[in-house]
Amino acid sequence: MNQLSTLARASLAGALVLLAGAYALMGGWAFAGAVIAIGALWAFGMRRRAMALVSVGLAGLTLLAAFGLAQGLPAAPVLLAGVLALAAWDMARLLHRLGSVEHIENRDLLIRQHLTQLAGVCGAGLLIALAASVIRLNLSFAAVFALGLAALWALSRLSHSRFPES
Amino acid sequence: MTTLLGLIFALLLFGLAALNGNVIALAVPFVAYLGWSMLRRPERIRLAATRSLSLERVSNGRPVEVTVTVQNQGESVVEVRIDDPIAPGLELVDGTTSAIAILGPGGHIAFRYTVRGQRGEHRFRDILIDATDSAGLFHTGLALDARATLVVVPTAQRLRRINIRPPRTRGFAGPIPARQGGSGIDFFGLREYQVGDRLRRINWRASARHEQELFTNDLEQERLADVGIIVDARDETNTRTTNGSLFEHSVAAAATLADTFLSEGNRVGMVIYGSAIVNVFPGYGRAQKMRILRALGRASTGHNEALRHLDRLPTRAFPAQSQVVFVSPLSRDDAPVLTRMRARGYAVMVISPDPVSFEAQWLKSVSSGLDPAFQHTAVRMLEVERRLILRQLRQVGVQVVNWDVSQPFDHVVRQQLTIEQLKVERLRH
Repeated sequence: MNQLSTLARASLAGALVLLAGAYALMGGWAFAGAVIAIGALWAFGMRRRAMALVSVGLAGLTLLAAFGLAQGLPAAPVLLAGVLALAAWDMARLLHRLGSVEHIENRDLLIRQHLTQLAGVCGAGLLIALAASVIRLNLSFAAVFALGLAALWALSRLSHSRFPES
Repeated sequence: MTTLLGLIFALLLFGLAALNGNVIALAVPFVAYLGWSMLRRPERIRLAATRSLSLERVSNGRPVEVTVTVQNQGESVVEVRIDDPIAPGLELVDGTTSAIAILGPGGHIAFRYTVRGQRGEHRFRDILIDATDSAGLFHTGLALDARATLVVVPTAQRLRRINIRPPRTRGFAGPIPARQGGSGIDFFGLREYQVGDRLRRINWRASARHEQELFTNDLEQERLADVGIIVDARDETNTRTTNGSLFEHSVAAAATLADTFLSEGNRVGMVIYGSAIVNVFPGYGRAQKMRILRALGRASTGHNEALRHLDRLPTRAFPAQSQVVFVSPLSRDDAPVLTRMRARGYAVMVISPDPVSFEAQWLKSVSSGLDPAFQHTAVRMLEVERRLILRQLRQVGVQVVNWDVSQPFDHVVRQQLTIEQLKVERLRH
């Protein structure tokens, strides 16, 4: 549990350093400060086991990362910061779930399996995102819009097909 | 999941609006994460649960160990959070009632906890399962049927012998004086000498007064008796305060009496008279003691308009001229019914937890807001009324034990039954 907690904090710290550093290098000190403030709020939420604050922190950092990308921040560190924030959020939720019960069967195995899968998913997501940021295709706005809509539609369909009751 | 979905949609829309591929690329890890969670969500969950108790019937306050086992009978791996809600009225002493585990096909988890409870029947309900994907985004709730019942029976105190003298006894040797001459310990009377009488039993003093006759001491036979215990569980008579219910004292007294009479070898039956009539048919021994304790463990007060008065008391449940012990705080309408029972030939004993002193003590312990003088007068009036009821019963030959429940039951019984015995004997003479 302590190792998982340390890993979650390290992941959050990594995300904060990368994102705030990227903003600072581009002279956006105010945004860097905002990143640190959101990070502090997140850390406070983790300490108090207030998952709402942690989720607010994830949303804040992601939106700041998206804004930074739109402002021309280097893609690689910002994408990595986003992935680290996502991993930190996942680990904070796992800590919260594990902390709510006293009896955990095969605790170490459970944590190890979870972290392995998380690393795989985050790694794959980061690679695809980096590839997407590097590979450039010239598409018209209509094509991009159509593809975006198709992605939204596919996501909705997938969601409905697997969870018809929701 | 709402956070993630919202972020993904926001990033996609923002990326499209800003025509920035990097922003859309930022959404990719989130989509991958959500997709992974969706794929890992177990679709068909087949779990089976069992709950076993170390004891299904225990005495008051004794801890019971509960073991919960959940087995995955499906073919997929599921992450489950198990919650076993404790039955109301039970207190967790040790262990935990919830657990988390990843269950592979055929895998199982077992955990234990210890509970303790007050007298009563405690029913454990379903075991609640929350199955999630490994990210904890999608939840499926299940309630697995694993019902169990724990009966906490009252503790029977050890009581010294209670002197009862029912008009009719049973045919087997026992501790109750049978009002018949024969072999025994206590002197019963004199009779003419018969051939075969032992010399040591000849009453030489009486024989000396007659020239031609010898007289023999006759001893009183001691037999087993039928004892019927009636527990009053009517709401109308059982006072309930924040300190507890007077009924608990009635139950404890009934358990103690049943144990005492049964341990002497008597045949004991019981009727619980409340919202319904619960009948434990007369019987002997340890098995009967368990039957009675189980019935007392389940007993609770209640209201039934048809059973508001004692008129419907099933006296036929007890053999004619047997001993009846009525455990009740008593109401003013009860005396005529008990008098009728006495007239029908039953030997009646009333063990009456005193509701007046019980409530008066409670009023002293809380600030009722009543004028102390007014309260004192009210208590006095109730005491006088109760004394009149008890006197009325004593006058018809009912043995009455007026029990101030702040005093130990065995002490009160020992003290008052001896006095009662003397009073009843005096009345007979």
